[in-house]
Order: sequence, then structure tokens, then C-alpha cells
Amino acid sequence: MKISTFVQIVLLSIGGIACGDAAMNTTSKPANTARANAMNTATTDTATTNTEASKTTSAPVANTTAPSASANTMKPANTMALPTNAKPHANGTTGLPPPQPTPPPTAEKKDEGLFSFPPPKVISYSLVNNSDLLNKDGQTTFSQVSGKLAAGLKKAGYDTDDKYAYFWNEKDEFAIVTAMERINPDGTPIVGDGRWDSSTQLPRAHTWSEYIKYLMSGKKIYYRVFAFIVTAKRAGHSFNKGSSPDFRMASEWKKKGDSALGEGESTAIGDVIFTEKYKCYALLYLFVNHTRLDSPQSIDTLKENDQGLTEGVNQAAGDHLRQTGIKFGE
Amino acid sequence: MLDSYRIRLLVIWCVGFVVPLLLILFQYLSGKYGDKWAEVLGWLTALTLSTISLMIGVMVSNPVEARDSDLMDKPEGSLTQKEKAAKAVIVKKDSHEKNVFYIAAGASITYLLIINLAFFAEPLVSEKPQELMRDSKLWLAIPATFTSLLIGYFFGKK
Repeated sequence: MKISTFVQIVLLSIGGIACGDAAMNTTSKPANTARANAMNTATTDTATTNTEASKTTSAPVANTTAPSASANTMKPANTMALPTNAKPHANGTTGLPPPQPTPPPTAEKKDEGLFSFPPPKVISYSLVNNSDLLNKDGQTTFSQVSGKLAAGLKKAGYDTDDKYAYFWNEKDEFAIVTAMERINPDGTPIVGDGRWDSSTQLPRAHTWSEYIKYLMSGKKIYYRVFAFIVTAKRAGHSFNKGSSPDFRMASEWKKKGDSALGEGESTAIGDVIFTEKYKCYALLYLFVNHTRLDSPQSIDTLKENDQGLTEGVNQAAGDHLRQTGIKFGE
Repeated sequence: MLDSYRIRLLVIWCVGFVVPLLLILFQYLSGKYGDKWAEVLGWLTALTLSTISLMIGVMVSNPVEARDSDLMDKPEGSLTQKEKAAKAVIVKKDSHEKNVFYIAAGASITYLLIINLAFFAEPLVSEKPQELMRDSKLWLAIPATFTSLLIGYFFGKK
């Protein structure tokens, strides 16, 4: 065979591989865009829900201390100061049109990615006994309730402040949301540092049995977030409504929440008296990542073909609390 | 000899293709890839099946002619000067083909091993198979080039 023919074959081979790579890159872009759009849609859905909820929960509440236009604000309502022009325009001196004031950020933008009230759709929920949260003598404030919830979490391995975060609104509701954690299908947390790994990376095989299992049926990991919500406005069944949270958003909750209740402008939230009319619910959010999935998904948003991924996973909030060792009032 | 090398190369490629193919079949039956199995199968076939088809096609349409075995079997003493010279050329050519075959077999095995690694090493890493397949394209580029070159040597000859 002539050298020129060899050279042609080599060039064609290289060209083919380069084209293959280019095709792969091209096809991967729309997928990313689609994912970004999906996230935006999810955020919009949540925002829409919030807007609707704000219409329905606009009844006056006795303990509300700071009436606000954004009644559904999820974190302490940092007042959004309307932007003012720092440099007043000198009329007629420059000939330039006066600068347009920047529009204030919308409520949807401000609340993006925060734990919302009403909460996103749960996998399941469980009622925490009020007797475990009430003081034995005298009145109990929200601060004391949050302290008891935090103490229970600390005993169960959520031992530092970065393992949970606080959210509240101006309608006398607050929630403690735990960090995204990796769990076993029975609800027990994964032992070791891997528990708090909220990355989307899948596990590796360490034994032959794991190797065979992962090789034949794929790698799978479950993630969990607990939210303990104290509210007088919502019944348990309302947590089954709305849309499920996006994994990325849920893993950001811990970062976006506050490290204590009552910081910010509506400090009075901690002073609200916790009476019998309030209930504390433990809300369970479960996510799964698998070889066949593009990214982790809430287990109730899986496609029909992927429903098998939820087989064998415990979905009862009460069981998860027990398996994790979360107890209050002791 | 050339025919023998062609068959051996074809066997190497068939083994390198069939093993992951059977694995994909089992994985499909156990639901590992869900509705993404076609993507995985497509990756494997695109990298191997075209070469295998080429090999089979060439072997069928362009069989190697039988060599004059009498010349090679004759005792050295009974050969004429012309025959001796012809035999020396054949021996030299055989030696050259043998060396090229070893290189071609090595390149093919390396190439097919990388392809197989994307399947068999996947449980040992955190990445998904699709990610490994995308990344392995970089590692496959060099062996693919050499393999094409060397396969062309054997299957382009008349």
C-alpha cells in the first residue's frame, strides 16, 4: 500500500473521531439548556404557588408583628430598598436622558431557591407531639421550640449549625430544614463523611458483590432532607399538594437559610407563643440518583419506567425519624 | 500467511465486540440503562462494528490467493538460483508481515481493551457509563489511528 494511501486513512480516522466529539458536544448542549429551563420552570412553579398561597393566607394573624406586602417571604424579610440614583441628574447639562431607575427585584426573584411556605410537595410527613415541644411550666415561645428541635437534631448527628437552617415567614410559621444527606434505603444515614456529600456523584464498588451489583443493575444512591415546620395554618394533607422540589434547590436550602431564628427584621418570630393551635410536622423529601438518570430526582417525579428505583426504599417519615434517631423532648 | 493474520485479527475484534455486547444485553435485561440502552449500544457498535464489517467484507470479496507451497517445501539443495531468490523474498516478506501483525494485534487489543474498560471499570468509579464513554473518546483517538492504519495494511492488500 502506498504511503499516500496510509496518510489518507490516518487523516480520515482523526477526522472521524473529531467529528464524533463535535457531535457529542453539540448534542450535550441542548440537554444542559433543557435542564436549566427545567430548573427555571420549577422555580416559577414554586413562585406561582407562593403567590397563590399569599392570596389565600392573607387573613390577619394576631401575632403578626410586621405586616408586609410579601406575606409569603420565607426568610427574615430583608426590606428591599427601592434603588435610588446616587448621583442626581444634572438637568440639561449633559444632554443625556435621565437614567432609568432599576426596577426593584420581584418577590419571585428574591425568594428563589428558598424553602417556601407552603412547603413543596412531600414524600410523607409525620406529626411531632406538641407535648415534646411544650415547656412543662409556663409559656413556650417559638425560640424555645426551635431550641428543642435543634437539640433533638444535634443528638441525631446533625451536630453542627451547618447541618440545618432556619426559615420563617411573617405569618407565624417557621421551619428547620436539614442539610441534604445520603441515606441507605431503610432510612439510616450513611456512616462516615459520605453522609453529607450532596454531590451528584454515584458510589464506587468496594467489594466483589458491589462490583457485580453495580455492573449489572447500576449504581444507586438516596438523598434525604427533613423539614420540621411549625404552623397553625396548614393541615397535614396540604403537604401533599404542589410540586416536588428540585434536587439542586433542595440541596441549596441549608445554605440559603439562617443559622438562628429571629435574625433579620422580623425578630419577633421567636417571641411568638407556641400554643396548642400550632402543630409541628416532620416533612420528608427523598431523592434518588441512578446510573440511568441524568441527575438526582425526587422519588415521586420519576418516570413510569424508572419507578423500580423506589423499590425497597422506606418512604414513611416516622420510620425515617426513628432510623435516624431523631427524638424531641427528652 | 496473510489470510491467517486476517482471521486472527478478525477473531480479536469479534471477541472485543461480543463480550461487551453480551454485557449490554444482560444489563438491558436487568434494567441498568433504562431507556438509554440504545445510546450505549450505539457507542459500542459505532466504534467496532464498522471495522468488523470491513474485515469480513474484504475477506469475502478479496480472498488471498494460495501461495506456491512447492517452492517453500522444496529442500534447499534442490532449488535453482532463481527459486532461491524468490524464496528469500517470500521469507523476508513473511517476516515483515509477522512483525506488522504483532503491532496490529497489539494496537487492536489496546483499542478494544479501552472500549471494554468503559463497561467493566465503570462500577469502580463514580462516573456514569455515558460520562466514561465520552471521556474514553480522547483515549481512543491514538489507538484508533494506529489500528486503522495497520488494519488497512492487511485488509487493503491483494
